Amino acid sequence: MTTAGLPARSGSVAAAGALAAGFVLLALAGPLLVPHDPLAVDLAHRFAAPDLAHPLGTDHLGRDILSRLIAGARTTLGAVLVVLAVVVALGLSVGGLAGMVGGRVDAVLMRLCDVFLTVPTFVLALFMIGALGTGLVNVVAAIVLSHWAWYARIVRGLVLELKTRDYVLAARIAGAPRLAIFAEHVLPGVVPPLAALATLDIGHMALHVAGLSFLGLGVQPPTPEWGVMINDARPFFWTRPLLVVWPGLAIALAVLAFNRLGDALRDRLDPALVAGRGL
Amino acid sequence: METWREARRGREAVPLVRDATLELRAGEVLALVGASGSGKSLACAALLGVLPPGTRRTGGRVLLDGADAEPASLRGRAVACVLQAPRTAFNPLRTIGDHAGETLAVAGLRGAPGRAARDAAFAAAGLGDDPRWPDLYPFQMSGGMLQRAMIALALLSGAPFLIADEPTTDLDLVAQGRILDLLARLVRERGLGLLIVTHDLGVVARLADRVAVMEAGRIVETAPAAALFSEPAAPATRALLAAHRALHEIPA
Amino acid sequence: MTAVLTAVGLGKAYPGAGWRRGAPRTVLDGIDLAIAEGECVALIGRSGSGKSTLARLLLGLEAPDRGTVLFRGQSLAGLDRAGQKRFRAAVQMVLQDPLSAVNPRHAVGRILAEPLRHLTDLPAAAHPARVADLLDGVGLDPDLAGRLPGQLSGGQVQRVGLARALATRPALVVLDEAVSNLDAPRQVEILDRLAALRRRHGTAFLLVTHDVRLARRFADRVVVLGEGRIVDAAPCRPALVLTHPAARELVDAVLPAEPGRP
Repeated sequence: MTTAGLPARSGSVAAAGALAAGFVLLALAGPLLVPHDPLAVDLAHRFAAPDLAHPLGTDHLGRDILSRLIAGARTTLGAVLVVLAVVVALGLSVGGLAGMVGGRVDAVLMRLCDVFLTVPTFVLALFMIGALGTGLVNVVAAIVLSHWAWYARIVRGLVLELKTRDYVLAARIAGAPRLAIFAEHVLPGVVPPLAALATLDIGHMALHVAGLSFLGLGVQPPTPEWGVMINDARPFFWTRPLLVVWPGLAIALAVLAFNRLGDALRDRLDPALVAGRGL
Repeated sequence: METWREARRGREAVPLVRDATLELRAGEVLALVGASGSGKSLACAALLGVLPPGTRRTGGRVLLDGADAEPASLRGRAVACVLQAPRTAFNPLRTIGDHAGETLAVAGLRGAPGRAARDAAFAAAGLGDDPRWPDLYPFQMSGGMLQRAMIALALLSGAPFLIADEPTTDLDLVAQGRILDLLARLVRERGLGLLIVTHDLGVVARLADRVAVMEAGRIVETAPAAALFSEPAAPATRALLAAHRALHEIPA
Repeated sequence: MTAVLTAVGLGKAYPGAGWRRGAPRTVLDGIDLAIAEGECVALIGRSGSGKSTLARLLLGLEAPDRGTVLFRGQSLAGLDRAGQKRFRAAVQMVLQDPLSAVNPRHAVGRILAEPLRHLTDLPAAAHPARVADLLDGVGLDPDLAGRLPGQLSGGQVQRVGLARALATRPALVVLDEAVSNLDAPRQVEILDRLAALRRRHGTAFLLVTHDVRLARRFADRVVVLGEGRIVDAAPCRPALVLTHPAARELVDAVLPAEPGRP
């Protein structure tokens, strides 16, 4: 129904899906695909122009740019994946607990969420890095801490809505304990919209990782990462602009692809539509 | 006398309603009865040109005063309708007064005459006693009050015909009785033509002059109400009557 | 006769509505009601009389503000885990709207197995046979076990809901307006089916309805609820005689059986 009504947009969804799948593949199989060692310095071939050996050329230390981009996909998307896994797990458990138990538990957990929701990601990241030092782990922790409450809130809202369904009442009458009701009747309604939200957030979180790394707070050189690559290339921006363009393009494409995919998922899995179609 | 005639409507390969011919006269109550799923509501929807997605009219005509008419053009002008679930028929964010204003705008009534017509219609529907009604939101009203508001809006449109699709199914019996009394009075006093769709032969016995019985998308019998109860012809009618009477008898 | 379920002085109030949280609205007050083993009681009243709230309190789905519900003489609030399980298995309910009372994602077999899993000691391997039995018992084809509710007709889903309530072989089944909105042939069919069950298993029923005809046809006695109190009660045989105005209103609202006779 959704795609049939929007033939012009379904093409862009397919393209976004293919692109996103490509990025995921690069992240998974990167070490097998890289033509060169992304860390191998070759000062004799600094700033090499693109050719067959180095399709995108080399950087200021003679490292192969294509190899570094591929390896960077793994660093950036890997970090995002860790963030998402933790955030979704926290959101499901805290939001699920608050929604299912309600009452005082709900009130306490939601006030806790409110506290975390007030802290912007970058401010929290700067604070944590100031206190604990730079590094990818701290960046991941900062993004998790500033995002999990969002997920908990959304899960709680969905749980509260699903809990009022007659079939949940019927499950209580059938003797199902609260955990079974959550797992069998509520969770299947929570997962689809949450998956759409998570997909939508991949691009946004990738920007955080790359952004913090660009500032030198996250991933440290020489580890290949898109934000680090842009930072490395900054001094040569006027003479070798392509060095900035390649990782910039990678970030832009990844963000666009995952956003478009998340949008499409959300349209398709809109809770109201899901309920209306009885899925 | 005004008549409508319609026939043959279907959904893709599966015909849902076939050769359904109904004739509704001003000042008369025609009941369309049948078991759930017999096609009653669909026939009405076709009459009003509001078929649900996935269904379409494949044949038949609607005649108004003997002349062909487009179903969509009748809606709100020649024919007003009252639906089963009044709560879903109102916008929850707008007051009853807002809804009345919308109907007035369609009818082309404005200003003081419009307000007078509005108040008269709501008084006729039995809501006039409560001066607060224009400011009430649907959630502040009971099912019976909402159904009255819907009937008031139907009156306000000035349409000579009213189609009521299971208007009392969601109400308790006491509220149902009052709504049926109201409909009977309006038919009597205003000469409305009323088509009432119902599965309850009690509603038929209370209100109807003539009855059309529908089964599996076909009208199997049309008769004056008294004749239908005393001498049912079609097997479907007899089955409905048997169940209806069984509910009234008291087992030993 | 011993009572399956007894309500003693039940009261329930909900917080006032609106922005200013007005005075609590009393929904039920001083309800005393006992349902004996195998007995069939009809609880009648208008919309908003507190019928459904009373049903939920009797099922232990909500806690009363005052009074207690006793299951075979024991207070619901004092039941231990095993006692709660026995209570749930013994007292079941069929909800009003059949389609929304079943999870649209679950097949019929899984819906019927839910009470078996949680409330009986029946091994999982024996569930399919029991599910087939249950479907057969309500006049449905056992092959429907693999279907989703959306693939069934409204009447079939209603019978699935009934079969689920009967899965644990309960001593009492509460029907919360579960019959009222069906058409007459279906009402008669389901009432006859319930009467047969009653004869066979001695199941007690509490029929919650606003339709005096259903109460008169099916129940041993009628209890009338009006504005949160029991205002009238009478046996159905030899003839139902109700005197309270709220009860008369319900009796008078029954539509004529034949045209021309008010």
